[in-house]
Amino acid sequence: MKKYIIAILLVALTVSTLFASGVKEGEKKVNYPTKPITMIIPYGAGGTTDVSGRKFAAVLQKVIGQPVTVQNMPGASGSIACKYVKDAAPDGYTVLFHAESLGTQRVAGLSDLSYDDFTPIMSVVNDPKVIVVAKDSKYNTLEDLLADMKKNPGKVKMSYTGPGGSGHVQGIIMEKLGYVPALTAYKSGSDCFLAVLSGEVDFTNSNFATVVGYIASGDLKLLAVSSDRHLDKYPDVPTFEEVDPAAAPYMKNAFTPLNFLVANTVDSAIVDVLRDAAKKVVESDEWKSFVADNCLEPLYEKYKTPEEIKKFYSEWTSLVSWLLYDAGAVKNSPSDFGIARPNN
Amino acid sequence: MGEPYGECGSLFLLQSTLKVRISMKKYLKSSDSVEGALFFVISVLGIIFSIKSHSMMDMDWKLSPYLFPLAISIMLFALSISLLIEGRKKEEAKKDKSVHYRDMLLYILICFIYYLLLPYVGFLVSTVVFLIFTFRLLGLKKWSMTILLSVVATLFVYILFARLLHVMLPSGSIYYYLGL
Amino acid sequence: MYFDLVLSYFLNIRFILLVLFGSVIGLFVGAIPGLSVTMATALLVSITYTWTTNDAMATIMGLYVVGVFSGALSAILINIPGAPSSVVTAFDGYPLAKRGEAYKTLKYATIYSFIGSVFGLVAMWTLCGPISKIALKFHPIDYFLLALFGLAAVGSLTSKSFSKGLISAAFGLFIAMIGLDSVVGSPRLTFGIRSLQAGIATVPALVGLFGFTEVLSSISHNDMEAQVSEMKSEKIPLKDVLKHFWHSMYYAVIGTVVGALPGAGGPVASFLAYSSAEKIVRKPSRPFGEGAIEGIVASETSNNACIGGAMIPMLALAVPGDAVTAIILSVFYVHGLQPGPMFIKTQPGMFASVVAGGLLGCVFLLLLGLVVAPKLSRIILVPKRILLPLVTVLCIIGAFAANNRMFDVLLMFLFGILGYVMRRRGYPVAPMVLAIVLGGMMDSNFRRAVSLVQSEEHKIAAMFSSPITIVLLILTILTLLMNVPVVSTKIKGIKGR
Repeated sequence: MKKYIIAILLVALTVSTLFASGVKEGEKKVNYPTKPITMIIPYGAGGTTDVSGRKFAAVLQKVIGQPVTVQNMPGASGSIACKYVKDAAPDGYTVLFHAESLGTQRVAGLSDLSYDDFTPIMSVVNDPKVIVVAKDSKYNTLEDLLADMKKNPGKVKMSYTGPGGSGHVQGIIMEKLGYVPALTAYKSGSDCFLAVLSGEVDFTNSNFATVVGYIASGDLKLLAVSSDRHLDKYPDVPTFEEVDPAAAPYMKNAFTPLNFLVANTVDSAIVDVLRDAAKKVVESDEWKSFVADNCLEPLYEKYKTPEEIKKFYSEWTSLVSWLLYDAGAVKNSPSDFGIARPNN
Repeated sequence: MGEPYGECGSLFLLQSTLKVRISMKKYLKSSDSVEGALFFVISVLGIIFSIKSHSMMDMDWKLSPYLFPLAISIMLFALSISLLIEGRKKEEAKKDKSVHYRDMLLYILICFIYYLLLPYVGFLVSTVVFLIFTFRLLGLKKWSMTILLSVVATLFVYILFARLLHVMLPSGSIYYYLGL
Repeated sequence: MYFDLVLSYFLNIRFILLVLFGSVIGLFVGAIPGLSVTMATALLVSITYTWTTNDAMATIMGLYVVGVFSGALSAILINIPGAPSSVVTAFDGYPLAKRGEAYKTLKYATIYSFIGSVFGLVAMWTLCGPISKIALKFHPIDYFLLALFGLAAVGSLTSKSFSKGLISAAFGLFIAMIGLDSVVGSPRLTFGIRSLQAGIATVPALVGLFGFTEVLSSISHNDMEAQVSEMKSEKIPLKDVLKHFWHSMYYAVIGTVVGALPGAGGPVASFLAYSSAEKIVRKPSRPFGEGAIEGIVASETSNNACIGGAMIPMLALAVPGDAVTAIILSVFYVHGLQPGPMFIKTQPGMFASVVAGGLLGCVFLLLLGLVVAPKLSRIILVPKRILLPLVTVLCIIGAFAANNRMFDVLLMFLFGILGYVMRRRGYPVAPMVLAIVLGGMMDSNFRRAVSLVQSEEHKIAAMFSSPITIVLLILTILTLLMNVPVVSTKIKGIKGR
């Protein structure tokens, strides 16, 4: 009996390897979507990508007429999830809602994937980066903070969300401009501002949506926006480049662009269906009020066509990759991947 | 990955120490002592590996990613010595009743094949097949019972997870490529 | 604190039914090894998008409260904890079930889970502000010490040989180091394997070390019949069950406070409660680890008290205390609510629905635990030749579904084989699981603490400046010292005199 089992097992093993080797792609019709779509979010639940992605999915399923199930797949700066979406069957039922790190995964040595491996459906929103301090902090304006950092380099403590993340990029930009903070890495955006509240660090560079409640309650003071555009809710708060004009070249690109993507192997007809649906999502009142509540910057107004989105991706990739590389934060040189140095 | 040299070095060390370990075996009485010796070797390797990998990074020990592995290796070092001492006091316990290694290894093999098939054939088919084989292996006598139970259990699990709880299960890539 | 609002939910039939719906899902999901409450909540969120926030909250709270409890069911019945926080329950629960006392054990687990949950939720309801202030006082170094304290305690709890327990923990820590380093972002101990860069997730390790190990171990001993042929159904008076009430209050405090510390959570709380039970219970019914009902009381009270605790930083600070509260937080955001310091004041109705949903969940916990759980426990009467393959399939689903990676299934198998070898050689697997859960947190918090004092003049003084730090440091050193064989025999000698 047992020999029998072993024989069958061996046959099964051979058959499985047969399937593993290349199978040709068959014909398919575009009758999409006919079953639930899975949206992969490469970060943990509760972060800014997760919240925006879930909201987007919630409206999308109303528009598209099929359930959109959200799956969090955190790990290795989002590269695990990207690889998963890239490797999934290119039938359009696995979509990706991703933050910025896709542009820097190659230089960080995390994966071989970049924005080129995906087809953008829409560049959705940017969660603006803001500089905040605790309510009893001695700093009242960005000028105070910058002046102190210039006087005492490496003494003013800043929390950031970990290597290669948007907070880290902010710290590197500050260093480039001659303000040297003492950087300490935390696990997530909320841990970062918690460290400010508990007095462990002096300030942080947070996503606005993460701290909006604390600014309203007065527990955190909002010093400046790291962007070239004022916040609608706080129009009086200066942008970084208004305080130090030298920062201008770094501020024109969104730092935390959230994007809606599919693998570039997905049929163009499916991509069109998704693009139409995404357009309807951002035109809905529900989405508009979500964007207004959280002071998100709608990138779909800035980058309308796929070509504009691609151009934005390549500019972003080049700016941030070189910043990280020059600061020694990543090992691989961007030039190995044909990423040109930004010209400014 | 930045530290191929370090890893090659440790591999070589591992090989040579394994040889030493085998020759030492007759001198070590109980198997606790053998394990103690093994962990001793692992901890030494860990210390070497941590120091080596750290030296490739340009930073202070205080903030190095290898500080913790080093600390754990040192802890393991102390523990392995403690285990060696414990092992010296103790006589080898008698082997317990017969262990059915063959069934167990066969079971692991079936699981492994199931694992290989899952992504291609999908959950439904591969699970039915898996259950039939394992039920038989563990001594379920009647074929009718085996097949009925496998199919019903698989369907039940599938409906519960995939349909009601929306848990993702491997769907099987061949169906897509076959145009189903 | 909005007593009338909470009360109004208790009279709302729709709300009650939705909590029941969540509770029933929680009962099954929690009891299935590898299917975590976290995952179930995340999936539920997708279903409840279009519902009102109150309806969604009712379902989620029911699922959360009952799901955490029902991890104990599989721990007691088949020695496979449903979640890391139920690992401790298996220490004494499984030996009890093997003696045919599953009914009694489940009754204790249910009642003390109920007590723990209610305590935690009431603490959340009434002391949300003050407890969140305490949580804010914990700095990175304190998190490190807390985790170290938990690990030091666990080594001595789970094994006759202290060295073997700690060796298991040490390897767990190594495993936790695998993956991208959290501070500089470089791969560490990945040996060039890309799939390891995300690190080793807890679920495959837990499911493998307990579930698959149990399967292999049964097969290798060729015991294919049912685990017990009959179950004792003695009546236990409630008075007897409640004999441990005052001790349980102590465990509940541990659970609530540890739960309120973001990142620590159920596993740490239950281990700490169990180790203190060993000290404060003078005469356990049986030795700890061989079926002491006091161990069940400690573990179940504290891990369920964590629920209320974990909600506190979420409600007061918009910082999730664990993975489930992280998802609840995103529910709030998706529904357009703004959690944070103003939340309780600006959204009293929402706060009340969280409280009411939780408390109603406790009621259903009691009902389901006393009525349905004994029925489920008949599973141990199923012959193992049928049970084991099914458990294997569930282990695989659990490992896969946590992150949708086949690689995790492979890891699960490897951990199962490792666990089998460890069990044969007398190494406990529990310290390894706790170390895998805590290792990353220890490493990053320690280096964070070091990094924070870099810019200070007196580095050591700055690091150990807070009273919490000093207390934790002393406790940790004492625990470690007490377990060094030489010292512990001396102490026993002194006590004996």
